[in-house]
Amino acid sequence: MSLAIPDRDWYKAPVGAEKLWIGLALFWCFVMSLMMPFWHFRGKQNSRGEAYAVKPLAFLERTEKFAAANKVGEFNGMPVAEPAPGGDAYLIGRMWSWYPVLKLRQGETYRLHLSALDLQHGFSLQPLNMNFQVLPGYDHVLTITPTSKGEFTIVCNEFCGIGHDKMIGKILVE
Amino acid sequence: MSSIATVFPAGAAPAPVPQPGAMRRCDTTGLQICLGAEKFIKFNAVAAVVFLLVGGVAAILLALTRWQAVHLLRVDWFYRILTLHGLNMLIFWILFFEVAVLYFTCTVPLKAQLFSRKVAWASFSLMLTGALMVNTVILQGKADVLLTSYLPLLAHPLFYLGIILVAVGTLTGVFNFFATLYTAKRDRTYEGSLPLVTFGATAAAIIAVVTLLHGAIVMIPTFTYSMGWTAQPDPMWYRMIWWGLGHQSQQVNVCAMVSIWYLIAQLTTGAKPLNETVCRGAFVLYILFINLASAHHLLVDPGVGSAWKIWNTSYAMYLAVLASMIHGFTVPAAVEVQYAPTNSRSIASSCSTASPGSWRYTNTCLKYRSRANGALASSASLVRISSCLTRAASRTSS
Repeated sequence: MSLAIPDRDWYKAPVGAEKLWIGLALFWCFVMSLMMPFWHFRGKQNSRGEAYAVKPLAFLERTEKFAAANKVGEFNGMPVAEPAPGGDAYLIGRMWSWYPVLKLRQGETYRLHLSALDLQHGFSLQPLNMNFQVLPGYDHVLTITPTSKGEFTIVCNEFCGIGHDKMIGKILVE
Repeated sequence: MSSIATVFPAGAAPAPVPQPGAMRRCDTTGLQICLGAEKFIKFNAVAAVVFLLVGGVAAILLALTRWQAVHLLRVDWFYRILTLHGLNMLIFWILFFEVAVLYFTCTVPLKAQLFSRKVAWASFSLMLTGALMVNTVILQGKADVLLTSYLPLLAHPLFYLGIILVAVGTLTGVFNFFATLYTAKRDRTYEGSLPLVTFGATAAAIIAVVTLLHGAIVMIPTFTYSMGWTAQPDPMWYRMIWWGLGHQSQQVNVCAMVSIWYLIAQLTTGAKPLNETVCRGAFVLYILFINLASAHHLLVDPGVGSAWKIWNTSYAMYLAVLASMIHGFTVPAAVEVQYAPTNSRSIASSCSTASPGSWRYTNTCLKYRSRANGALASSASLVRISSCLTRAASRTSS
């Protein structure tokens, strides 16, 4: 019994249906293990975790320089910056906004640099539901290629205080 | 019951005889219950469900807020109650109940006495003080940081100190568990291998030690930072170590609850594990691999690479998942075998390698069951089966 002391000779190999079950389960474990790296490459929405150390104020400076150099308009008071195709785009999350608005071209590849000024934030691109963590002190780099046109919304999905639910940004793709 | 001096005497001593009144015999199952352990099982289990209730009330308040027609809580109270909900449900309820399970499994199946009531008091006091401290600080509005309390979001120092006390208190209870296993083996209160339920609880206790060390390692520098004594820990480091507490505390519960499955299967149906090697091997897989999967909380984080994420999230090629698949088979199989006549073609009976002697329980149960016309649902049968368990248990223990 599970509560009683087992028999002296309890050590024996599995037989019958139990052995078959373990074999099937082990096979399934292998299948799932292979699926993970397969989908990492095939899925195309997975971050490699590429990151660089950066002081939050230094990153803010880079972002403001980028926004000023590439400004093409305004969206609800927020500057719209269009990075060069194949170039770097900077986006900073801070309580409680995403700065700046980015304008990208469909089919072009960009290096998107994400960081935070103050607390942890969550970069969540909707409606695609692509999510990445944004931490102060970490320049999280994503190599992105927009595949569809439209107006995409960034919501913050890491609690960052009282204005967390209002922290919304935009990425425009044309 | 025993102080350290009497348990670890200076020279070789004979096995201590349980003091009169230190144990009682359960009328239903015939098992020997250490009264000291029983007291602390009750304290910890009651505390556990009280904290579960606090978390549940919080959940109702949150649901009534998310439901726009009611929209009960204001925004700051929403996050406050969300913090309360997380900590009570995922840390306090689980750890208190875990300690109750450990005290049961190290005493009752081994007919042993709990190592130390003083240590049990210390553990319970630390845990209760810590939990009350944390809940108070949260309700005062000084810790609106959610369960995860990610740095640089900062709470009042007592928030972190409270969690440290809960972790240290639980570690003290786990120590009491291991010490009881040691003294039971040394005093020969049982002969042979540990029963499976105790083995599973030992696995849970080992996982708990790893979990709680993560909790202490992440909370102590955060506490000293909140007091202004040290620099801010790195936010990514905090995330990684915190999830060593946050995820792994749930895995402690998984392991403990699987042990409880085996316990309940036996108490209700007399079920016996078909193959002890398989069940124990599955618990060993838990110990080795189950904690790795904390990485699945860091899948979209910067600074940790994909290979690390994939390997850890997979529980090392799903080997801990294999353990769960095994338990998912062996527990129902053990129950099925109890109701299959010995000449049936049930799947479970094809894997039984039990010798005739070990079918004693089942044969006795079947005899009573056939007398009651096989209607297991009737209360008369349950009474007969429990009395047959009592008789069989007293035969086993004599």
